[in-house]
Amino acid sequence: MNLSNPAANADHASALSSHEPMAVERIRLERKHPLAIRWMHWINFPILFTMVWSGLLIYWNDSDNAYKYPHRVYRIGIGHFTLFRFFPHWFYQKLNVPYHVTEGLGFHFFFMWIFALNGIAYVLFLWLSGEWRFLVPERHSIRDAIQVTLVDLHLRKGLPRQTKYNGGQRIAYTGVIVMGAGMLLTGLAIYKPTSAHWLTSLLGGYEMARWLHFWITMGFLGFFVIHVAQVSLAGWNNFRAMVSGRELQRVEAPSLEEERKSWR
Amino acid sequence: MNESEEESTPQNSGETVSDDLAASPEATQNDVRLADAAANEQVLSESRRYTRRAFLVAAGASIAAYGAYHYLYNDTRDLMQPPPLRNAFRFNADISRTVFDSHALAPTYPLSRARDLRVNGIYGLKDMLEPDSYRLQVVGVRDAQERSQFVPDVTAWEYRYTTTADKESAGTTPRWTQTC
Repeated sequence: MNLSNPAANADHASALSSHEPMAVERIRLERKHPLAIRWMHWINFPILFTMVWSGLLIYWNDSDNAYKYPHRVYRIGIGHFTLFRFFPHWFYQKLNVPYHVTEGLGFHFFFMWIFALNGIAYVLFLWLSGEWRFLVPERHSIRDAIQVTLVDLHLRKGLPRQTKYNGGQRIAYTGVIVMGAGMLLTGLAIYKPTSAHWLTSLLGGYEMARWLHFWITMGFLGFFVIHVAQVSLAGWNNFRAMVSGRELQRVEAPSLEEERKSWR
Repeated sequence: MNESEEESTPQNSGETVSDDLAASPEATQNDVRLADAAANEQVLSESRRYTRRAFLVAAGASIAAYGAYHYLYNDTRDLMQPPPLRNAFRFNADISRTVFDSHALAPTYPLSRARDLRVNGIYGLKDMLEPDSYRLQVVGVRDAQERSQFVPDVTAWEYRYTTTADKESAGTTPRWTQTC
């Protein structure tokens, strides 16, 4: 998921040109992210965290199991060996989680609508605008993703050719859409296990749907950590593009606008 | 995050400048360099303009989001929930009543599949209830009054009991524990 690109330092590119001494490298302004994608991206950020936070308030209460491990039903471990249990008491205390389940439910069942509508709008926009072509993994995306990861870990050199996103990004950004859909389905299965019992059964039962709901949340948090780290490494030019939509590029870098025109 | 004035500035403004100069015989390498630098500066200033405007909109949106949070979560409560959240509960319940059939039966499973059954309190009733006199009224269904089983005041229903000798144990042992 290397978000950097050759022109990330285009601001300074004019001073640093390799092959032709004294020549100035020309730059241009690329229309990278459409307005709709930028709005939906930034709306999703606080909404997702409201869902995670309110979900934690519910989890604390709903895992108040009188028989085993109250407030700590999920764990990392194999068989009888447990490495970590979600969540330690100091964690709950620090975040003021205990006894706020009514708040959690109130927020969860309000913001779920915004999360769902924003996600559906995003998928519709990708579909209708054709931008999905930048995002959906291609046949060589897995190979590219491995290569990009190795480059990121300084184990090899040479990034694969890419347009807007590299293979790793295509897999990750499509993955979070699938995860979002998974959250809506598993969430409904937990919310209405009797009325929508067909869905709950389809997902492997109530406990399984709960387990999936919890671990997809962990997946979102994992995505968030890597995403923020990669954006930090990629630099200001790349980050700013998610706000202003424009990215500075070397003139000869492949043009996204040209590619968009080729779809029509 | 504003798309107006989008097309007013060409994307590659000045791209042809260096080509023209390079083609003309009297142009020196220095002239090309200066022209390119000027063109780049134009691109950068255009970029700065977009950045300023986008971050102003972002700041406005952040303030609006903060205001929305305060609107949602202040001191007023409707049945112990902030009113917008309470309204969302009512809205959700309304959708459930529309989408799901309130007459549908919940799936049942054999008792052998039950695990860790929770005992709902250990105190039970003082006297044994006569099962025939038992009434259960489900609340929350739409137009509950129009159903034949509806009783305006469930507390007015007369429950009949049989007295047992040992009041301590009456009703305290759930029947399923005898079969498991």
